[in-house]
Amino acid sequence: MQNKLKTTLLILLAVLVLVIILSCCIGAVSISFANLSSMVAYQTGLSKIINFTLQQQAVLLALRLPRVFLGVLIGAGLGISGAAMQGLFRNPLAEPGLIGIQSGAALFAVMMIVLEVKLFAQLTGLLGYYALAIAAFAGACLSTFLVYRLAIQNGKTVITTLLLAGIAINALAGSFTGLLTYMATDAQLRSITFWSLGSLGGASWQTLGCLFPFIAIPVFVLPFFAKALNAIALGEAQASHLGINVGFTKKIIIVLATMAVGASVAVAGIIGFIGLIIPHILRMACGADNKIIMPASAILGAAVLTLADLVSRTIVAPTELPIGIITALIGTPVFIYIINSQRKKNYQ
Amino acid sequence: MINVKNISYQIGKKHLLQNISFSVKSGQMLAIIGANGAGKSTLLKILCQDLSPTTGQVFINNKASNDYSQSELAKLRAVLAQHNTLSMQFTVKELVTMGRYPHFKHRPQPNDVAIINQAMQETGVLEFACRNYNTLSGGEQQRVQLARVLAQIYDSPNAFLLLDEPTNGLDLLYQQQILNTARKMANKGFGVVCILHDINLASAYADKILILKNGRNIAFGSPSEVVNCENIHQAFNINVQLMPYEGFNCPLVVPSFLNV
Repeated sequence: MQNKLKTTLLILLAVLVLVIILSCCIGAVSISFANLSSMVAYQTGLSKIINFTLQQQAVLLALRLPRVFLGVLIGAGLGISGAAMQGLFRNPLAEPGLIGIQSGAALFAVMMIVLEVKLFAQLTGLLGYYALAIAAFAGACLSTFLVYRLAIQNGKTVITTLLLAGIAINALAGSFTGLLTYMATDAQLRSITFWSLGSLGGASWQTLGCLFPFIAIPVFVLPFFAKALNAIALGEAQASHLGINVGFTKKIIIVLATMAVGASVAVAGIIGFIGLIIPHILRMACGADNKIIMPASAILGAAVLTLADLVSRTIVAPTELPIGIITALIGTPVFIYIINSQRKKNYQ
Repeated sequence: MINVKNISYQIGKKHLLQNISFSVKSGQMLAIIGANGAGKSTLLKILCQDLSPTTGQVFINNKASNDYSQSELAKLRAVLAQHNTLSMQFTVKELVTMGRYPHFKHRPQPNDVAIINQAMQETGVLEFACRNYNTLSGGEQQRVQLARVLAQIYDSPNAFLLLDEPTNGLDLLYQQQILNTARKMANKGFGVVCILHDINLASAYADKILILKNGRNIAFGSPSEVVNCENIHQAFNINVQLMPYEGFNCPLVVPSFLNV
């Protein structure tokens, strides 16, 4: 079992490194692998030979690397949150959006874009470029908190009520977002569309620095709940008979998933499907044990999102396609294939 | 020893259990019988701390059950619930390993692995250790769940096994296999509490029988003391006949079909 864990993670890490190298090399300014290795050697002081142009160096350091790492961070956050949510909801079709994280973030972001009222203008003056991200994160936290409060009965969170409350809040947030979209001007509509389809275009070292703790903490803490989530697959009562503190597990997982997904949405807009599909694919390949699924979802999520971003910025160069389109476009056929093969397997 | 003292449980004005008292010693097997809705499952839920009684207390090894922490309890009693659905596709071995969760932090120790194998052997599920749990038949799944709860308390002295209708929906052979395993655990020194529907199985396997009716205890004692026509009629509202059975100190209960 321990060997299986190590091999799986090593293979996935190798894939991730490969994708990172590819993403660094391919783009409007082409950087060959030789150029890249020379730059790495030069920057780390291993070699004094310069086998690259200054333009290549500038593009890599200022544009491409931050963007690649943003993809890695967000992909990891979405992947592991999806795995944790599916475990918590005891449903392989659950995803972070179920508890209102994304719809709340979308509502607040659209509010910022459309209602250019005084308060928001002041907020923008105060926080500058980050105002939209902070508003989106606040929206994510608020809607999740609301869903969570609604689901508490006699001091306990009931998972089915959590699901229903999530649907209700999602619908409410969606209708307000729709109302605001209806009121929006053409220019505003364009930025709303772009935001709601997701993009890693806003990547800079500064955004990376801000985002890092919001992703790093969930990615390193969530795997410690693998045992608890495995036991919850038996049922909540059964898990508590095994000594698992189910209430505490629920709270922590919801907080950590909101942290990772809320911050991701704030920085890059809504990127669907990663949280749903990645854990699913991994479960088909290496079983349901969350000790493997959780860290593996983070790594594979990072690799897939980075790859999707590579496609999104090269396929219609010099402009770029929103990444949400790419993930759904690739994700849906894969998902249908999975459902189909699962059905065949069940018949056998 | 599990000591149940004057337990009552009510929801609103409805009394589900009233003044139930009994005890189960280590090495004993207690069967709880009664009609549907008599309060059997509620009683078991109170025994495993899913519910707390409105009044009264449960003592486990002379300590009130709510003075134990959740992880202490997990090493002291294992529970086989009536309905076991699994939301993800775990293998049999992974599922039985979950029974050892209270005993290891991150990965199973050699002792845990040995116990997991032993439990799978005793319940006869070792041969499909690597199969997907969801592809097994109902009887096989139940034995896998039994292996999981056995593994949980296997090396805990004075521990208890609580089984909620473990033979439900199983054919005769599986019923016997499950109860044989439970009986063996009692013979090893564990206390076993088991909800059963079949009175004859209860008197064949259990040391003590508790008969519930509308949340009240109408009889508690050894099978030969409590299994009689009056008690059964009172509990289940049917007329029965007792038939002596050779080599068996408690008579068989057979429903009288004559008064249909």
